Amino acid sequence: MINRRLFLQTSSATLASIASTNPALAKGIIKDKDKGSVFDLVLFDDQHKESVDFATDAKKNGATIGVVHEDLNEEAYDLLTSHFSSQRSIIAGYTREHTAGYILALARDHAYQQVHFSELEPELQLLLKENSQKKLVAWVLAPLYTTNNS
Amino acid sequence: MSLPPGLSQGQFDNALSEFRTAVGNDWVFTIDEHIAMYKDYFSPLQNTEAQPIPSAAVAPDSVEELKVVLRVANDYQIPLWTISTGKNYGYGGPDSRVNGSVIVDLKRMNRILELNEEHAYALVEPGVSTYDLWREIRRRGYRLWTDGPSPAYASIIGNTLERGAGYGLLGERAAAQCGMEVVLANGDVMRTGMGANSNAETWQQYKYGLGPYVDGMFSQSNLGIVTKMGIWLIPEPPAFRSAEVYVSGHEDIIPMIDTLRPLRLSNVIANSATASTNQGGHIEGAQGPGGGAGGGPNVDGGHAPGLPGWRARLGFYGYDRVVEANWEQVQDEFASAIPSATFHSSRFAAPYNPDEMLTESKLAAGIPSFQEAPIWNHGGTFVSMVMPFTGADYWDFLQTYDGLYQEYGMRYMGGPLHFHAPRSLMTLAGVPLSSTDNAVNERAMALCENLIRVSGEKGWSEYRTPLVFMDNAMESFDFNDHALRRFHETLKDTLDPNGILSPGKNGVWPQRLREERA
Repeated sequence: MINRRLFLQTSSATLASIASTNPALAKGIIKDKDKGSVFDLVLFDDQHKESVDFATDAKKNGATIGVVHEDLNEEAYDLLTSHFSSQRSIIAGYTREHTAGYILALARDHAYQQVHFSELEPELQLLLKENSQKKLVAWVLAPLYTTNNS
Repeated sequence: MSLPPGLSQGQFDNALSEFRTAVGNDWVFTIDEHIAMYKDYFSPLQNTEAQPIPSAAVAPDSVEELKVVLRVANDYQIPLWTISTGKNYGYGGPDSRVNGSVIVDLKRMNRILELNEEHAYALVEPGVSTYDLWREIRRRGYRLWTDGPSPAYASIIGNTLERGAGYGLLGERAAAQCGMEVVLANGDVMRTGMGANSNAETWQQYKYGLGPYVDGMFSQSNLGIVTKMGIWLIPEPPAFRSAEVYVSGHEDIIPMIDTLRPLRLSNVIANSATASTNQGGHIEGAQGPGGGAGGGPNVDGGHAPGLPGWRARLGFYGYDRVVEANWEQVQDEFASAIPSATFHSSRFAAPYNPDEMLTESKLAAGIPSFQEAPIWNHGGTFVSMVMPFTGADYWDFLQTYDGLYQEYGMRYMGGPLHFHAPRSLMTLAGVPLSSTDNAVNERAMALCENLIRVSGEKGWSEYRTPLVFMDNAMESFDFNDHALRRFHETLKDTLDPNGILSPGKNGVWPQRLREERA
């Protein structure tokens, strides 16, 4: 179980840890994150209050945000694939668990790895709209490497 | 790093060098992080030494590059394993069967070569997903519908070759295939059907050409690599109704199936209908050993016998009056057979707006969905049987399978019943796995092997099977001391004498690796 502050702390620590063993990642990505959002892209579920709040903060700090809930719409798909293609973006999500599953499957195709996954605390699972599939999870994806065969 | 069987490091380095010359340095993958992309994260063998590890992956961009890859593999006798997009989750994903195989990844060959609105077909390469094709149709504004599996990232060619199921009017995917280009193990390039006539304009319009019809030899097959395929599309219907029939009793599945059968056979229900428990489209984290949050396969209906009723998902297409008449007739038939049946439906008309549709309607309208992705973190594996299209047979199946699951400390976790092949019934049994507890996976494998064996004795066999059970599944096709398998092996040894193409695929092994059969 996790909340927003803990999520930011742990995912930042995880990214720093990965960067320490991956110089390309450290130079190409982490250095850029000294200011502003840790994340380049944040996908959020507009039916969950905590998710909307998280995305709002991320956007203020310079992240691109995209809405995703039951299905992956064309806009979110294009956002994801363009960030995957950059091989530099750190991508975070506050989404339903099932949504995270298929995004991870897409990520693997683009040489991205899941570096953080956690379920949000029960009191943060508040819905803005009624829906039965309400379990919200937080996750982070990072590139395995920055160039082929690096 | 694994090595292909029988090769020294030096020999393999030479082969890699030739692969690089063929496809470019960037498209030969050898380091661990790259190889990890070709791991089946949902394998029952995960976290064990029994899970095959590729020695490398190569990603050709063209038939010409692929031909060189095959020449090198023949020269060094390297087993290859071909994937389109590698999304065959629950059945093995991008995994191979022989440790040290080189994965031939066709994702770069992702061109939509032709999209024909007038004759309603597409000609695609292996890396084209159902989502890619659907979006291209929308981009061009063509009034065509696709059909295909969920989730949307599946390769059209990969899923069709695996004889997967869609949900719309062309849900029997293998039946919607028309013409293919195949690169044989010796590098020869062949076109089937009318494509064998270099001047024909009907490659994607008439399947058979002249002489033996060979397309089927390349589905679920290791006899060649399909590099182009024609796939039929559907002219946009003027009206469409997505419908559901609900029954409340668990045993109501028997009359539900028996009511569906004549309607499906007579094409009153023309789409690839499905039925599942009525607890909703999916049950989050079907509970089983190692289940829990994000646990087992996310499949329809954890069948606690006696608890759930059922729902059938149907689609009606065409002119408005025909759609309405068929739907009314279907309601009458179900109400007569099962008086407590209830109905729900949504009507749509062209021009269609996908944003107005729920997932059920989207699938029946051939709109690719990611939401139906069947697997989550720990993953699961499937046992998928073909059986007679009768309620009595399915009830026997339910009791048999629940009994077997209980022997392993679980209850039957069934997926939807598919009626895509309209004269048979296909069941989908999910077995949950664990990414952390190998004992769970060992128990899952033992259960699956038992399910396959008992099913074979009852005359049920798999329509498609995970990599790890391919030998078991082929074993059930036992007529005349496995004459069918001997035929497959004869073809294999003739067309691929070095046994380089996907050895062991569906239990068909080349001569030199036949001792690998489980």
